[in-house]
Amino acid sequence: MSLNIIQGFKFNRKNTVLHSFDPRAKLVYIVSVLILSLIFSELCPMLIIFVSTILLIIVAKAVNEWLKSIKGSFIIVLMIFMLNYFLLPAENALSLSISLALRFLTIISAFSIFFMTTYPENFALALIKLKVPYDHALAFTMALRFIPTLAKEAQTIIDAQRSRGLELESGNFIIRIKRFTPVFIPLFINSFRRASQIAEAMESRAFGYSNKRSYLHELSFTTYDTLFTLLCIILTSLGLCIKFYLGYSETLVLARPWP
Amino acid sequence: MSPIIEALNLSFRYAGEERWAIKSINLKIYPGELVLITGPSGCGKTTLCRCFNGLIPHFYEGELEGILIVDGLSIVENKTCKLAQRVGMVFQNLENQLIMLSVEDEIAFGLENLNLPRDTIKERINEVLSILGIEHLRYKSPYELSGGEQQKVAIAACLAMKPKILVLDEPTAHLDPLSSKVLFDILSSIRKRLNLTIILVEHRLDMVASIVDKVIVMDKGQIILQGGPREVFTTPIIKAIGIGIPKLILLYEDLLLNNLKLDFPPLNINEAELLLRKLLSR
Repeated sequence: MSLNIIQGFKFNRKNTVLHSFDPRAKLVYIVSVLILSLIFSELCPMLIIFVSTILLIIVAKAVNEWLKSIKGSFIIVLMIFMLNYFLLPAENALSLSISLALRFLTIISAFSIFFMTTYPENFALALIKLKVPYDHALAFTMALRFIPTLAKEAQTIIDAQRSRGLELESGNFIIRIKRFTPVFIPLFINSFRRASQIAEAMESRAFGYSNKRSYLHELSFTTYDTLFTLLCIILTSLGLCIKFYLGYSETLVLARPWP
Repeated sequence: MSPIIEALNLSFRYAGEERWAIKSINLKIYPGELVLITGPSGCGKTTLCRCFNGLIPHFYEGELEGILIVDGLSIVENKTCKLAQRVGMVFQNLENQLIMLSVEDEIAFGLENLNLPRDTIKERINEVLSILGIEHLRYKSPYELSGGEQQKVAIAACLAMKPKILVLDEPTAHLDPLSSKVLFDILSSIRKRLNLTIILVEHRLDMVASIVDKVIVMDKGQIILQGGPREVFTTPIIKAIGIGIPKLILLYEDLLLNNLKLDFPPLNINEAELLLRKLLSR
């Protein structure tokens, strides 16, 4: 399950409009989705936002990967729905719990769009442009780089410990966690050794040579990026106006709670 | 010609250890040479390699004695990041030296550190990709590559910085025989093309014997033999150390015991064939 979730957050090298957008524009998009989906809890606007993210996923040609990660997170969605449906005293509990589940889906889809269409190196560059220190941005890309390596290593250690008779599957939650100790300790120690080797390799390639550094990739904020950003800002402002100024139910007749 | 690397009484002891990892090392390596360093595990080969680009004494703490001059720079006064442009270092662990998300970015990393202009970086990436014949790997992730490919990327990333010296610490430790052969072929071709001095730490002596100019044998932190491969491999004391003497040398010595003397110790199959034919026709 856990690996499937990652599928929808991994960069796919494709040639679509969304891939060509500047990461900063896409960050604005994420913030817009966050604001909009958090200020509304009614079903209709939530559906509109959700459908808009799906449209973008289709544009990004990433439907399959997205579906995989949605499947992976299905249990969480179901839990959000059930808990709210049975525990909310409100009369519109059904529509409210659907829209809360949708809110979760919408937010993870927005992040999914971002990570599937943004080359991590460009994201790091965007962070640097936003005044994040280079070292921190580098730590981010390196963390992504070493996820598969660590996963492979964890599997090797699990296999090794199992072949010596370690049982990982049975027992309750606490017992299982305890049983993972012989997996975590070697993994931890190896990671320290790895960190030192990585540092050594980086210094050997002139890391720390100068305070200034150049970059192979270049970010360019094009007219399309500006238009996309403006669109996000306008829609968000509109949403904020409807919610806090005009009043939601007066604006949209569709918004009456479901029976 | 003056040596490009010169060590005078070089000794190093890691912090917190009593034993000297390397002791009284004296050596001279000349520009363009391909030097093999060999010896049993724990003999100080890796420690010596770490000195060549200043990881010792700047990255590893400990006590350093003696002098090591690399391309005119003392390792004590120059940090690793400064020596990086002169000495490229390829490590034994393939994966831990590849830190970026694509081969292209991996090669660019060192050049970005040197603050080179973008055009130069692009030029150099294209150049080293074509030298190593790995243009097709450009956008791949390091973890998607095979061991041999990762090795080539690591070498490309070093070469992009245009070093004069390339140090490879047991580069074939994680490679199969065929990839190892490919690697050695690459090394012997680029050394001439790029005028490189190459220092190779290796156990598979059968494969490298015929391409090296000079062999340095270490044991217990000291250099016990150095010289041309034919001379070193036929020195009697080498048998006591526990290194894999090339089989053709063993053949040569076996024949010698039976009063059959080949003209010189062969280092590759072609030489051996030639010498044996000569012997048979006598």
